Amino acid sequence: MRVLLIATNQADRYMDRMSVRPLPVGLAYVAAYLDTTRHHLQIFDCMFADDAVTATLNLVQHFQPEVIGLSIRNLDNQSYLNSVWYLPAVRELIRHIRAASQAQIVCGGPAFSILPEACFDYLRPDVGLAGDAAESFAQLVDCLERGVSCLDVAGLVTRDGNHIVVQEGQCAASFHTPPRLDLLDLQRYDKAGFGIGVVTKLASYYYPTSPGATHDSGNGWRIRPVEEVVEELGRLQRDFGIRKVFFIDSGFNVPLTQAKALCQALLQSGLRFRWNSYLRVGEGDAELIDLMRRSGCALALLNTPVGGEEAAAELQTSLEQTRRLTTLCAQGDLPFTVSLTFGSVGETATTVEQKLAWLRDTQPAFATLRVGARVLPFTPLAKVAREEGLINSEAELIKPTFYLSAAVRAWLVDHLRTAAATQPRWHLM
Amino acid sequence: MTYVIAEPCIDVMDQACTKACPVACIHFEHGKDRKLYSDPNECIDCGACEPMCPVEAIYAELDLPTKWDPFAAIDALWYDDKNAARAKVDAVKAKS
Repeated sequence: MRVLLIATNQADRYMDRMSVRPLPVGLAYVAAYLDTTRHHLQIFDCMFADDAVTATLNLVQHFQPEVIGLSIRNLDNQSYLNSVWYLPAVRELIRHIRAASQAQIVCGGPAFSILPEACFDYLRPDVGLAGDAAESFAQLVDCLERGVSCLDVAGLVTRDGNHIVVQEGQCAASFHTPPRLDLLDLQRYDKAGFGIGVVTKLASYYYPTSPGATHDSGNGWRIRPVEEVVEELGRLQRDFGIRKVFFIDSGFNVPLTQAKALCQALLQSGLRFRWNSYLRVGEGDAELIDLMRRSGCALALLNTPVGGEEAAAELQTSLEQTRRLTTLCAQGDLPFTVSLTFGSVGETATTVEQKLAWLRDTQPAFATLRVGARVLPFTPLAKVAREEGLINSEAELIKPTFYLSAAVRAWLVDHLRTAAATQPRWHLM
Repeated sequence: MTYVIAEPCIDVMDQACTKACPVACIHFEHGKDRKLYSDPNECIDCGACEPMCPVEAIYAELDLPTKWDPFAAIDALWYDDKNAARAKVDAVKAKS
């Protein structure tokens, strides 16, 4: 079959500020699992397209795909002050494709997987794939080619009359097959800064690791073997001249032994890379920070729990835990960024001042001050949002929705703007 | 390669960006340079410098206007050969 894969993401800012073009790694994995001895494959990446719709339609007309897979990376830019919702542009793209092609349209990707039913209902593709779609997309295409039922494909989202049905199952890719990075414009992504994405570990509720664990967050790490990561780095350097990567990992430092093993392997490999990644508050020691620095880490992005959904009473504990990691980074001469949320449940003038004082004292390389907490489905905050009437159902959360406590709502933005005015490394979003 | 300081900085050198940079990767030599230079090997891509520039001289390399493309190489060159970089700056300025 002729298969066209489209990376729909065009967002080029991280935290609504830093210039970052994230490589569509997920789509490169999807491409890798497709049997190209039987299927003709093309990838179109909207990231660098001036007019993504026209460029897509030209390709559709030329290539005449029978299956079109669209990967959707983010629902929105998570910015309260400059909110951008990405799904309408994808729906528009699908509408244009439908008018020009009879191809089966398949939607997937991390954003789609947060709320598969609601996204499916809004975007109206023929089929959706929730979770990692590397193996499942290949399975789906094979079924379509053979003309057999594909209803048992894990994570498959379909319409059955008035209902949208998600097929339960293992929706987590093994990642053992290397991603088809050769199909992407790596040189341009390299030039875009922040590094080429390399998966080291995945865990979050976008990527269910077992049936029923769809909405687990932070559990069930899928850790990529160190040797596979080093092999991919070698390939990136040898085949593409890449020397800067971003380790896709919601907590590079967890578990600690794995993190140290990867740093040591990098040092022993002789590969000289600069890299960035996320650190999760809770684990870490001076040895790890030293290993990270020596193996090429230039910037650690701290995944701070502060100000999210924890009770205000626990704020001091959260700040102290985060401080432990920021102190290690500072002592190890490793630049770090932090992001704090202001205005979530229980926020008061006192807790706002506590956080600002903490930020001034901590002096991160860059700080993001998030106004309001983006409500994500199946979280304690979503429950509060429902109870307080901010939303009626979790399905509404496909749109950018922020919780901003009534106690601080009237003055918070002005107050944070005033505080940030004297801090060039603080950014409000 | 990351943030680049382009032509508008020449003979301005406001230096607000140097205060914003968390890793002190923006340099110049007083009395010798006509612009500031960002070290591509030290820049951590945080973008803190960009909004500080009063003459909009700082860009992520990929967003650098085509007419200022040479400044990516000029910034890098300064850290290897300062005089060569200065000569290129003079040449670019003379043309404009």
